[in-house]
Amino acid sequence: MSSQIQAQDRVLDIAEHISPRGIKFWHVEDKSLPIITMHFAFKGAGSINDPMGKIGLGQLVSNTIDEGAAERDANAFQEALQDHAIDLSFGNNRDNFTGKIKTLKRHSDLAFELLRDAIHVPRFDGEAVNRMRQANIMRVKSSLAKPDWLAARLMNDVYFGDHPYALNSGGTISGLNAITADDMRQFVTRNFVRETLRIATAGDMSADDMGEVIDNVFADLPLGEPAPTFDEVVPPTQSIKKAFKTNSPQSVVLMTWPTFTKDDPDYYALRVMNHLLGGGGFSSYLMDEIREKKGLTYGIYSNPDFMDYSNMIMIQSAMEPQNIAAMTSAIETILNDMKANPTDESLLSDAKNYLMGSLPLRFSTTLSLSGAAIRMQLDGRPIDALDQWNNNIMAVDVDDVMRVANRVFTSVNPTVTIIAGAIPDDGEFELVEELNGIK
Amino acid sequence: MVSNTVAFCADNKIYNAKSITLPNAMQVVVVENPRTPAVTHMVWYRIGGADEIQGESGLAHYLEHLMFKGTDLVAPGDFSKKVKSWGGNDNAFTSWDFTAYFQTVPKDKLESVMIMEADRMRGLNFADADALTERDVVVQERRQRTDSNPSAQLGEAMRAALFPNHPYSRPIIGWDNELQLLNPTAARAFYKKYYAPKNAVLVVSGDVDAKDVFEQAAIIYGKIENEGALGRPKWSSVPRVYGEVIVAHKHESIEQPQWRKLYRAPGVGQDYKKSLTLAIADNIIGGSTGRLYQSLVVDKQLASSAGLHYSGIGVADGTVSVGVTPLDGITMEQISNAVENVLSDVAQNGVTEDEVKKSIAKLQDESVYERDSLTGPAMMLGYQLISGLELDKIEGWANELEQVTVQDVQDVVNDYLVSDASNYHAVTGHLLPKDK
Repeated sequence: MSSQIQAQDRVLDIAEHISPRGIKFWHVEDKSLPIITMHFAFKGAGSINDPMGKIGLGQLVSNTIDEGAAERDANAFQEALQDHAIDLSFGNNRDNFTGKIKTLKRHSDLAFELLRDAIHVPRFDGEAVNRMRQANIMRVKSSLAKPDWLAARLMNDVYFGDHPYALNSGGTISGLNAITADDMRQFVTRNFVRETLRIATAGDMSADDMGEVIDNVFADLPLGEPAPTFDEVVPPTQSIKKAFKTNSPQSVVLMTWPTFTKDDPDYYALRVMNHLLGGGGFSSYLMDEIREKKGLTYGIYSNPDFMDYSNMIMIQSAMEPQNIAAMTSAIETILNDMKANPTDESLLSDAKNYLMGSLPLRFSTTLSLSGAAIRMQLDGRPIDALDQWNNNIMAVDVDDVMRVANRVFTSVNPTVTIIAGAIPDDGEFELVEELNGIK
Repeated sequence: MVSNTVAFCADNKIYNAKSITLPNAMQVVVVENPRTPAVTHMVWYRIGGADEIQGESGLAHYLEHLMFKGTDLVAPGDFSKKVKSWGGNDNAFTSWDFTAYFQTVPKDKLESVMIMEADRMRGLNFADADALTERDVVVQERRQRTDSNPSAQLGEAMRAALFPNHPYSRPIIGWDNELQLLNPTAARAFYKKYYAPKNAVLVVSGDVDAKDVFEQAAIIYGKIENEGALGRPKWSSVPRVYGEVIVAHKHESIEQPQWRKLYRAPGVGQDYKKSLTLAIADNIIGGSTGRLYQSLVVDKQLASSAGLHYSGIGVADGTVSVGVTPLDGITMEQISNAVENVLSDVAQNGVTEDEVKKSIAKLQDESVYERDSLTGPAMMLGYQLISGLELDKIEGWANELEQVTVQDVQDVVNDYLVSDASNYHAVTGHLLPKDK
């Protein structure tokens, strides 16, 4: 397509380095702007580890860790960030505890001093812990007015069943209330270790200088142990349809099927198949049929979701309840067609051209460079994975797409269908009176 | 703090954009950014929701959807499909002041998207049946974004009360009763009247040479004529409204109350200096270390969040919005008083020299981030040009901040943001659980 896919050219100049004190990191040097970014993660330290009774621990740590460290109390710490336009934030998903920082080069000494302090000597002062606790509880309560949040909550609960992924990674009200500053300190001691640390950096700094910075921030962490492992999610074996009723005029609809892992040889064929199905916006079958031709919805999308212990593909949309049956039958027709018939060659070629040609468009900000590099490490990809992307996509043919459609959609009925909002009166859905994972 | 003010060079331009105006009055602006072999191409029309006539609310946004429904050269739905097949993404959005269309594509496809965008500037030709199906889609968009979202419902009602007799009072998506009646004929008429080069600004940002883009634009857009097109109609101004307006929205999905207040304030197109001052006031009063958060959340422990935000980019009035999440057992009145106390304190006692200096330094630092994106500069430049700012004002924004004084900040709060102010126009909103 365009010049950047020539074999010798690299999509991103990501290089692996080892800091003087032995920490591995991936760096994309880019001097076009005086900006430096860093993404890091403690792999396996996500909310999957939240203790029963203290659901929300990882979330609360991620919110409070930048509310005061070392000599700076919460206000002094936040002011140091604000006054120097340093964007520092921590995150917590089911699998990993993460952080990222963006700073101007000329404030980078201060930025990385603040990061070092937050990681090594967070204060967890009572005032700050309580303030963040309240903010999280209010966030959970505010979410109850959002149909898409309610649908996702119910989907997680039903699809993941008795696996810890089913728990509310943002915390429950009782869990958030039970967490103490000591719990948070123990979380830091247990999880902030070099064994699970992954680092990716980008921007206006040489790899040598970055190695010094990384040593200063991270090298004094204990070596530690690998994170605990968990069983794979076992998806429900029979098709489940559940609904949570609100007084919205529409229903948010989520449909989920299990799929294979991101290490499967069919991974790239799955990306192509998903683009054709519902990943490609207006060029996808779902959008074309259900929005463009039928006018049933403002949007309908499909996305694969790969986690450490679960792999699934989800279709999501929102529409008035009387149209759910029409949408469901249109989806069945599309899936049956994808399973039985080869995709039109020109549509396949358009899909592949998009997936290849759009690659550089994903890397237009400094944060996107370090973001891509951390994602690749967490996914266990080799450092040249982006450079292989185009060859892998190019190799997908109509047979691959058809095979993957058959592998994923063994049944065109979703494993779990959730609706939240208005409920159709055809009795198709089992009504859930109260959601788990809130109180 | 000394280091903060030194590094920002006096002649520093935020985007370093280059601009020409074609003979048909279409402005072309280019930001060269060679970082990625890609380009964002955006056409902004100085026509939006505020230009609809009474009874046709939502028409500008409906037309935005219909712009994808085909011309003589491009079949219905094919615009986005072609862009995707080139490895690009495209979309469009409508506001009160403008309607904008953009594509981000590999740089060798710039000419192709230019040709397609120019084609639909005067050559839109959609079928009635497609337009009626699309109206169903827009109705579903309203159902999803507003009718299923109590917070958006409150926002819609507050805005309607804040801008009486002014087109900013209308929801961009349209009032539900009028949205159902929009039709292909009205959309065609609106299109013919306003979609023309003299109402358009092209912004291109990415791995391009400005000279080449100007040449391409002159050939592709320069040949389009303005025949029969009108400029933006004159809007009414907002009258003085008596009484304190409180919109209380009780909804059965609400478990967590919220307190909000929306103030009218000068927009960049109305008063550039005041808009700079309000940006600094926003930083001192709003924000995670701002006075509002410190007072309501940290010191008085009345709320779990409290923020203030100035939105001033626009042709007519901007807004200052305050949002507070009260803790359990705290009344709306307590919040209202506490917010008023913070603002009155600024109005009476002013802010410190240090607060203003730090805010200027921070906003200047952040302006460096503006270039750290492909699409961002095209968005910000287009938005500000449509608001009536000249390019040099946009480029010099961060430098101009240094003109703002402690007294300016006190004055702007005293004039607009306290309830006995001379220019006080505000609406309070309460988002509340339904009585059980």
